[in-house]
Amino acid sequence: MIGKDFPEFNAKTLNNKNSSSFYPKNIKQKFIINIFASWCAPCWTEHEFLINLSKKNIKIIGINYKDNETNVLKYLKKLGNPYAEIYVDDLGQISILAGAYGVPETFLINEDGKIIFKHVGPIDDKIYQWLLKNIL
Amino acid sequence: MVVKKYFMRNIFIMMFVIFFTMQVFADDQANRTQVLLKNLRCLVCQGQSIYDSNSDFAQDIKFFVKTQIESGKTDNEIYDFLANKYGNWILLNPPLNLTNIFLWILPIILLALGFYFIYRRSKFET
Repeated sequence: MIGKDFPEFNAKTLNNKNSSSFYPKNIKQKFIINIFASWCAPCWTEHEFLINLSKKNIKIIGINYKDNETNVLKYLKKLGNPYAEIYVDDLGQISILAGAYGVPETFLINEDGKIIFKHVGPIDDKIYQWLLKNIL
Repeated sequence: MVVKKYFMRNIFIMMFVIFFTMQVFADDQANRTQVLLKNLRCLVCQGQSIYDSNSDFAQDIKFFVKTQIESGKTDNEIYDFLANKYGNWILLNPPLNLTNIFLWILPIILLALGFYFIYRRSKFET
């Protein structure tokens, strides 16, 4: 998937119940896509790193994988919300389009909408430092 | 009365044919889905096909394959799409191409080398 375009997709967002289209090429800056779920324990451990990245004005798009809306809202209230937008992936089909294996999974997308980095599993300090170095 | 009898009979035959055709079509589609899922590897499991696995990943792929079949995609289009996303490793029967051709011809090369050494040795001994 590295070097390929991150796919465009249409999905409802967590805040707005209507479907919305996501066009990676329209963002025109480096950004992160993070696939997560409130039921996924490693997602809790990486969340702190996502919060820190968002504090440095790095745009993070969340894909909420097969989750319960009430639980994910509680999760974000408790841990903070680092996401600029959250798309709901009820059936795991956005994840298939993205070539993902499960949760958590993180992609770094460049200004042209291409995937330049992919990490399967929770973000740790090493990955966090790498992301900081390659985005800022 | 006779007309009504024939009418009812024809309706019954038509309904039977429609029902039978739908059943055959549904069975055919189910068989096709099963074959496709048996030819796909579960990438988060140990040595299981997508068909045999109940992991989240396998369930997502099962749903994806089902919707692709319903939208009229061919088997090759579905395999190509998934291989493009996950690499040829997802295919349990990967196609012959430049990246794996060596694996296919290696046994033939080894066999040919074996025959060559046997031939040379027998020639040397005589």
